Amino acid sequence: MERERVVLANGPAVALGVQAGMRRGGVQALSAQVVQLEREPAAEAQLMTALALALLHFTPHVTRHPDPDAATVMIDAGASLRLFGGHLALCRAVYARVRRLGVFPQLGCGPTAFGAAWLAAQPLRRDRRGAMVRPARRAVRAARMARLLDRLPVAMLQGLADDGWLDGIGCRTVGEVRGLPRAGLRRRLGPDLLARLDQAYGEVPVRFTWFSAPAAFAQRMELPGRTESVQGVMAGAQRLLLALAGWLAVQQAGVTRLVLRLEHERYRLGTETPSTPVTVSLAQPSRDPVHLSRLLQERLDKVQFSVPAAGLMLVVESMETCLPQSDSLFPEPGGTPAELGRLLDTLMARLGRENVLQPQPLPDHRPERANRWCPVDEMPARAPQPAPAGAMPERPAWLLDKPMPLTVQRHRPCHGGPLTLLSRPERIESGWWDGALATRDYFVAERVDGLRCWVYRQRPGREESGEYRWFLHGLFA
Amino acid sequence: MTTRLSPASPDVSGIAPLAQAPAADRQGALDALERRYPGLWRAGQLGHLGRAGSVPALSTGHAALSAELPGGGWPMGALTELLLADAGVGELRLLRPALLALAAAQRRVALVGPPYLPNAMCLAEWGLPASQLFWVRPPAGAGRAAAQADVLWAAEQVLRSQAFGGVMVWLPTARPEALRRLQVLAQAGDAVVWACRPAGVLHESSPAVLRLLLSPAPGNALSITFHKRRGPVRDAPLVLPLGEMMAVPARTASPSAPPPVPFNFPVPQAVAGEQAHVVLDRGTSAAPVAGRVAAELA
Repeated sequence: MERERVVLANGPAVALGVQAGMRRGGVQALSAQVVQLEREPAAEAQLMTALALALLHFTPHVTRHPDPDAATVMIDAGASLRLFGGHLALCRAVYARVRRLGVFPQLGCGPTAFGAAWLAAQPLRRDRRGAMVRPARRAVRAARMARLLDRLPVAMLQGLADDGWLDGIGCRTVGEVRGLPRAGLRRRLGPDLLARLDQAYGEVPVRFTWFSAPAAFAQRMELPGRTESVQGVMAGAQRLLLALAGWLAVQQAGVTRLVLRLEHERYRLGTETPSTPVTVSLAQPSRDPVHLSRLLQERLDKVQFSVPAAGLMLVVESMETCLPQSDSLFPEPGGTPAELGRLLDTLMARLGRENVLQPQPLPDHRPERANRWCPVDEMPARAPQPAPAGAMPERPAWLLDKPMPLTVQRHRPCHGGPLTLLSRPERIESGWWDGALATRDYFVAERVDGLRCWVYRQRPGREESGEYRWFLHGLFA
Repeated sequence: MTTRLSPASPDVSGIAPLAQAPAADRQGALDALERRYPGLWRAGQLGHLGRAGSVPALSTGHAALSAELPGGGWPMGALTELLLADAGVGELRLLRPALLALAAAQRRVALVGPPYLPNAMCLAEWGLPASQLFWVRPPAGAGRAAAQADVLWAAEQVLRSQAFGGVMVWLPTARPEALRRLQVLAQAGDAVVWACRPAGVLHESSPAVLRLLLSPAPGNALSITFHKRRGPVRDAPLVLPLGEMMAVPARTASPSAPPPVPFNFPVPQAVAGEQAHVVLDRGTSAAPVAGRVAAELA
């Protein structure tokens, strides 16, 4: 509905008798069950922008149809046909990508932009027996496109000429209109129709103002309803991520940090609720929408939905240039570095960056200090050369999180059984300067069944008195 | 595809009359069958390396152990289950040569959800480069079930990426279905996957191609019981010395330890050749195993 008039009706409504241009009251009179939805030009414009952005993935030459009611986006991918594997493969790829935005596109393809737009916009026909026929919408050669265009009904020229008048003078198809004398046509209908016909048939060149991507990416969208589920948010976020992917392709960049804001109803329960930011950080820049949506899903899984989300806003906070990887003839074993980066990003998104670690031992005598692990995105690019074997004292492979106090029986420490000390003590006395003083004698010990442990004897300090205390600090796993 | 085949199996066409046939004919027919289907081996033999259908293997670095494993090493692109009598029995020292070989081949190694803190100093001392070593752990504060789910998920992601050459994953409470998923994912790549589980899950069925029970043995050794392998049944555990420690003087290396023979039944050595009437489907072994308490067996 727009301005109280019907703009578009679906099949069942048409069967009830609803037609374009009817008033709201008339529709109500036909049937009370017809759901009337208000047309939202702002949401449509957002969708068209998202569509144009998503199509930037294929080519930088993307433009909106000059007629805003046409709801058509035109792309010129003639230079990249081989890259995408030919017309048919390109059409399929475009269809799949647009379909993921949540809309059903109608694709036309031809040597000229306006010709292709007409082919895409032509309505379904019914054949003599009343069955729906899908008209041909793809033309590679100009001759075939001219033949297809000639057969289009004059209703396609709506907006350029009065199609009722053309019908009245006996023109049923576009081809017949084109056959009329040009001078007379120009005098009666103005130059626009002839100019558009020439452009569509490729007789005069067209200049387009190509769609230019905004300098910074910040897109928002309304969700179709209030949602508290991750699936509902992800369905909406798909569109934003696809637009983001197209935008990044133009920038030759990959995103390293993006924020999805969940906007809530502004005044719920009388208080203003701020939007909930969901931040995704990547170690390696990426513009793969599948990868980004997987990361976003992992982050969203952790969000507590206390208030339903009504809208989404996607903002790119930082990005880096990223060139697409060229395929190598002989894939190296163990996957490409990009694959590893994607894996680490996925792991960090779910487990947190402090749980995906690489070793970075610290030169310190205290084992718990020396055993330093760093998040993978903090690791220096060039790791220092490991010291030659034998230069370092022998250490157990497992360290306990906190040294475990051991009981003492007959002057021997026990850990599930008395332990036999096998080695001479290794004395570690360090850390008086940072408040974590360690005064310990370490031993390698063995249990009766053969388990090898690393135990230490805590030497009492000056202020504390008492006996030696024994602790288990590691296991020779 | 590999199939275990008993020589006396009556339902395989062509060798049904073998049980009555003279030994020479029978041997010849079996040889022909083996040549024809390279993925086939007899229950008395160890699975082979280098034949179609068998798994490629990574050398264990311990000659005595390699000789007992089908293919002569840890299977690549398959799940190996290490059942630990106790955490820290020496599982990492057992894998040390294999991990070093992976690192030397520029492959990465992941430790997923280990029970204790891996010691960076120890791993550096072994010569494992830091850039090829990754430790993935579940978030702190998660419940046991949630942590196990996270570990499984992380292991699946790691296997799926195929960016790693060796994956050690600790699964204290995982279900057999979860292991099956890991095994299927492992088959898609060439990573060596070790799943460390407690010895208590011995009675559960497992999709792993190799199941070893590791228990400590006095004198710096590891007692390895073969519970499942593509090869003959071996009931006697293999006692594998793990190499001397620098800090431990050699003379005290074996303290007041009792001799490691807790078995009071005749132990069949590797069953070979024509006496191959071995049990092919065996659940948990009836023999008492080092590290299992008597109450468990009752």
